[in-house]
Amino acid sequence: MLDVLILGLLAGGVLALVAMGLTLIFGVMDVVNFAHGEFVMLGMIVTATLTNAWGSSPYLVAPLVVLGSVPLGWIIFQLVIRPSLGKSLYVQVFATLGLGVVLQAIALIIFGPNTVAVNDPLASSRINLLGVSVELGRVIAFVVALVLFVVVWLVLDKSRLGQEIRAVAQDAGAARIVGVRVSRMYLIVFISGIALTVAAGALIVPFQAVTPASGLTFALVSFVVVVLGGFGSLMGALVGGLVVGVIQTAAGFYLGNEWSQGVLFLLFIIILLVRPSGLMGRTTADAVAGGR
Amino acid sequence: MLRRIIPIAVIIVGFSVFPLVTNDNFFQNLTITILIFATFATAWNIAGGLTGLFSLGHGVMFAIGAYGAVLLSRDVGIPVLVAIPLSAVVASLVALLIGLMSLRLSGHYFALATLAFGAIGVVLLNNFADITGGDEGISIPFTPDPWGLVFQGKVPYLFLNLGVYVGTVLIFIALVRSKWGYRMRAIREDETTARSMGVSVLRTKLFAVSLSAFLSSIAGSMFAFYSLYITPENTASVSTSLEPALMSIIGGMGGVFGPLIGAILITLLQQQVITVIGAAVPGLANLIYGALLIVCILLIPKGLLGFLDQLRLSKRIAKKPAQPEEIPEPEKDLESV
Repeated sequence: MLDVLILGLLAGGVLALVAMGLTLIFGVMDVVNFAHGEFVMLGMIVTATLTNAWGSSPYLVAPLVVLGSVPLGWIIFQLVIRPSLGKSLYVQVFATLGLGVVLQAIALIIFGPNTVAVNDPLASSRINLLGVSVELGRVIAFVVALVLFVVVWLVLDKSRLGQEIRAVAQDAGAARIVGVRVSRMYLIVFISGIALTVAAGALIVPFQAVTPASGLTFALVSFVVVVLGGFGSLMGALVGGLVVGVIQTAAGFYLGNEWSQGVLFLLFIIILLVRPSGLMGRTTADAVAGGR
Repeated sequence: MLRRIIPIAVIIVGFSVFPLVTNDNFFQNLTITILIFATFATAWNIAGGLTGLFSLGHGVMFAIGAYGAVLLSRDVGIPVLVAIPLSAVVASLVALLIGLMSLRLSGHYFALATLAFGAIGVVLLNNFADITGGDEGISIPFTPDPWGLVFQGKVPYLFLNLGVYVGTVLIFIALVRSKWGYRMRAIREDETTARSMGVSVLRTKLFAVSLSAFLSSIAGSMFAFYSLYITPENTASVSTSLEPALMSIIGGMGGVFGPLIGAILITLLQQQVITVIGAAVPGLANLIYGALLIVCILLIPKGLLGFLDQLRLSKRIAKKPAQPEEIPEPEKDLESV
């Protein structure tokens, strides 16, 4: 029982980081990024391939990969996201879906269809955590995820930049009037959302293998996390991630791995029905319409 | 009405002449695939284009048609021609149930919920392997039998699927002209206003999804008995769910024949990329496909047909600059049926 809880919380911390980029981009830009999972996959597969090619540690490669994701995020923002801002819903949905297809295809062309895994002695060594033996990689991922979470929280809450971003999230038009450069805030938020997502992928890959097709699962899981916590809420992503991590681990343990996804989606639908604005979400018009 | 009959006649004649002109297996296969997916896309368009419900889970309906017809005829012993409408009825009941749960949601939330239902469909098909064959799927034995919808040559398939497609289009046209069609378009344009005008929003949406599911399921059955091999991947997966949406969007959701245009383009693209480049570069086909989707959705969000309409409109405007009040509404596409 305790081991399920601990493993679940460890997994949940990383899920929270995976979902944080999605919720950040939605909260500020009002864009649901359906290509989200592909960025996790890219973070995983690039980190794994470079680690194996250089014979290095994934934790040394990861910062480079995250840095490399910044220009990628910039290009994608200019080409796909900026033209779809403010357009009708299906334009956004299908533009980001198309982006997902493209990213997955690029990964398939470059890295091939095979499973890539990292064999890192540091990550796979086991330590004793409250009487439960866990891989160190999972603990590292959990701790780094929490640190990144706190950093983002502090930036949003305390800094001048964070103030401007929150202003844009509340009311882009009013923010523009008081002199906030809205499109620059969008760019910053999108790039940092992508970088956080790629970082999550780089943290996951030391203990989980990856193929170019892995993205979809991550996308679906992050949707569950974000809907549970509340779309656009940072704290919601953390709470949702931890809850989903525990539920998924418990379902895998008691019902078998093949059902853990099914349980997750069932949970997803129950949340959408009972409380579409999530545990901590602000009440959006969509959520209000749904809650009726 | 005549304006709509002419294209249908052209389609029927065009597709019927096709097997007489060419005996080529590849082209016949291409044509049948186009017709099956054009039916599927037209069915999706009832929910997506007409009512504004962007479902990302239609693969489940397709899979119910495919698995339902095959399992009912193989394991229960119901004749195929009864099993197909029976599974279509099951699909519309499932759609009603899913609709009751998800139709109160709007916007992003509806798209996400349908995506989740699609994912659940794949999980169920994979996990009840005793019945469905798990992720290896079912292959249907090739024993030609006209009443079992397994034919020796390709030509009967072509006419069968042409018939199904034309039937679907006729239903679509009748729907557009009916009270239900007007209600659906009213909801698509502005749900709040539609509600205040006395349109029963939930009932109309439920009608739209169940009719859409019924026809999608028939397309799924057609797919099963043509390809003779069904798996969760080629029937229920997210990529199958996206296919009709892409076809409708690229062709144009506004019109009756947009989904057909989209089906032709996308099927050609998929098959041509495979034959031209081969399997040498896996992923290249998808790369082109995704890039095309992004370009289409950003540059011509009304699809090819909508784009052509706009071109015609701007020409007409250029001719008569003096009377701007006579500019026809760009949204007139479906009303003009």
